[in-house]
Amino acid sequence: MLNIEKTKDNGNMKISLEGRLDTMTSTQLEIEVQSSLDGVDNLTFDLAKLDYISSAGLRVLLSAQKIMNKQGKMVVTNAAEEIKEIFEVTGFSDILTIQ
Amino acid sequence: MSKSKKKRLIVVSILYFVLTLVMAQLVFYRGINTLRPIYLINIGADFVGMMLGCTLYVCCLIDLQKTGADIKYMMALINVVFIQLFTDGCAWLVDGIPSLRYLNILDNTLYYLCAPIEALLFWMYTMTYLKIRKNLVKKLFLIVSIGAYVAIAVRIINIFTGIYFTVGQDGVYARSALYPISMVYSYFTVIAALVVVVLERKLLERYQVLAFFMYVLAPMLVGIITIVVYGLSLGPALFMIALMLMYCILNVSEGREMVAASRDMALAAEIQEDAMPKVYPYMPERKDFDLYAYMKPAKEVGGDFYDYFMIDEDHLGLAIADVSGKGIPAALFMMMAKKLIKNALTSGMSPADTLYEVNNRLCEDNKMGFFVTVWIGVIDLSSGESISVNAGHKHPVIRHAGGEYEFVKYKHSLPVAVMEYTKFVPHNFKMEPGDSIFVYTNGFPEAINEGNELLGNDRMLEIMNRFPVANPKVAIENVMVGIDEYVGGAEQLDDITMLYMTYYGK
Repeated sequence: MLNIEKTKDNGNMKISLEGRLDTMTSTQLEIEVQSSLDGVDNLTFDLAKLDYISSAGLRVLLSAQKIMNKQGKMVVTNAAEEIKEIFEVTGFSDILTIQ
Repeated sequence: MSKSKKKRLIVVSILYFVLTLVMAQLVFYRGINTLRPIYLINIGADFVGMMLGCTLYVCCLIDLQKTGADIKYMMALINVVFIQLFTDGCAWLVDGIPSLRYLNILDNTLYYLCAPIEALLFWMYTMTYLKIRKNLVKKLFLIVSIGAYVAIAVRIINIFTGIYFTVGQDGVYARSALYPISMVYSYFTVIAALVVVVLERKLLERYQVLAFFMYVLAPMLVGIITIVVYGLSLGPALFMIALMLMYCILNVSEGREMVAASRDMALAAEIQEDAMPKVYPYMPERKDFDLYAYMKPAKEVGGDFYDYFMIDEDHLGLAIADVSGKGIPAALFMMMAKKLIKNALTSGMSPADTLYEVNNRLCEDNKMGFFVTVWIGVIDLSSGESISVNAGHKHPVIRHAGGEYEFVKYKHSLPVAVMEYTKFVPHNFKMEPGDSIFVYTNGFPEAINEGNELLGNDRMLEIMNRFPVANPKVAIENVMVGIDEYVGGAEQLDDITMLYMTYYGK
């Protein structure tokens, strides 16, 4: 189960995630992200309510990061300790901007 | 077809048949000659609609396994429209007969009740079909359900107050001045559902969007065309035709997609399954080590793999990995990663150089943006000296002879296929005789129980330490028992893959 909430204001977009970002739900996020990144130069992922992220979920963040590398910047905010640990273990903390 | 389904099929068929017969009898009772021709057209249309409904219901019932949860709302809709057709037909037949006045009121009340229930079901069908779980939609659903209760209540109150319609002492039905208000709820709900369809149109093909609109457009268009013909009522029959169209376009295509998807999944699972060595005992002639590996795939293939092979007389190669993705593309990516790793290691490359090469190769043509977390290790079986590299994979677990299982944490590199020219950091360690190493994928520590709680690293070690020391095969079997106990009836969301090696030394 994953809830995605998007708010867009000119070039700034914030995507808030709630629930589990896993193999099943990552496709949902992938579609949302890919369809809405046009003209965005400042992307924020708010993970405050995210309980879990799997490698399939990391892949969506990575592909968003790759797109944003070309057109602006991307930050990941409010990640819980367990999520931060997953970023650490997978080495993603080196390529994502985590605040 | 299951027994309960057959039973349902028989009950519904008889019920539909009896109701159709009742209406036919009523026509006979009233006498065709005394009915106005336009009434006969209406009644005829109702008959056709009822037949369609019956056929459609049977189709849905047979189809049930193939399509999604939305079909139960479709079936409920068919039933309600069927009742609407029946009551519409009967309304023309009982009208104007003083002795049947109460029957007339009952019939029309039932008829009026159908519209809001249909609207509510249409909403539920649409939302389930689109699989929307947004908060806004949940809130709207609350409004829609409350509205349905209010609409139903007002229709029952109407029996006593006649706000929508009355049946006079002469048995003649007449609409009241407030009649148009009775339509507000249905229109609001159906239009709201269609607005959601339009907003979520990205999820649908154009013809699917059109199919949803048919539910409103068909009755509306015909209504406009026949506006000059007073007393013609084709609405309910048209609803049934629209439902048939929706079923054919939406559910049949959905069923086809599901069949294709499950075939893809089965194929991916087969690729994955066949790629892994499963010969046990592995190298029984060697007394210096023993190993066992196991994978329990999830319903949706995750792309895990393990591998083990002799590099030369003295060196054992181990690998475990998790591809981020699912389906055939992920399975093919997994195959490629697995082959590249084995080729590089068996050609004598160090683990760090192996991943450097494999990473660059996999980055070359990776349009899907897959990556793979990998742990690989090379064990020198004569000395126990070992080198491993951890590319974003879970911490391995080691149990020293006489000790307990514990995590070995060291600096991780990025997963493979994330970035070209990534440098991978090797980690040297020594296995003493009696030591065991256990590597696994996230399906183990991230399994969830019925309460949706993660198993977690602490519980993982607790499960491993719970059982007495055993050989690799038994150790993995014990771990699986522990996992199953924790998970209970919850669904397995990710592949669970494990590789266990015990080093005995010379």
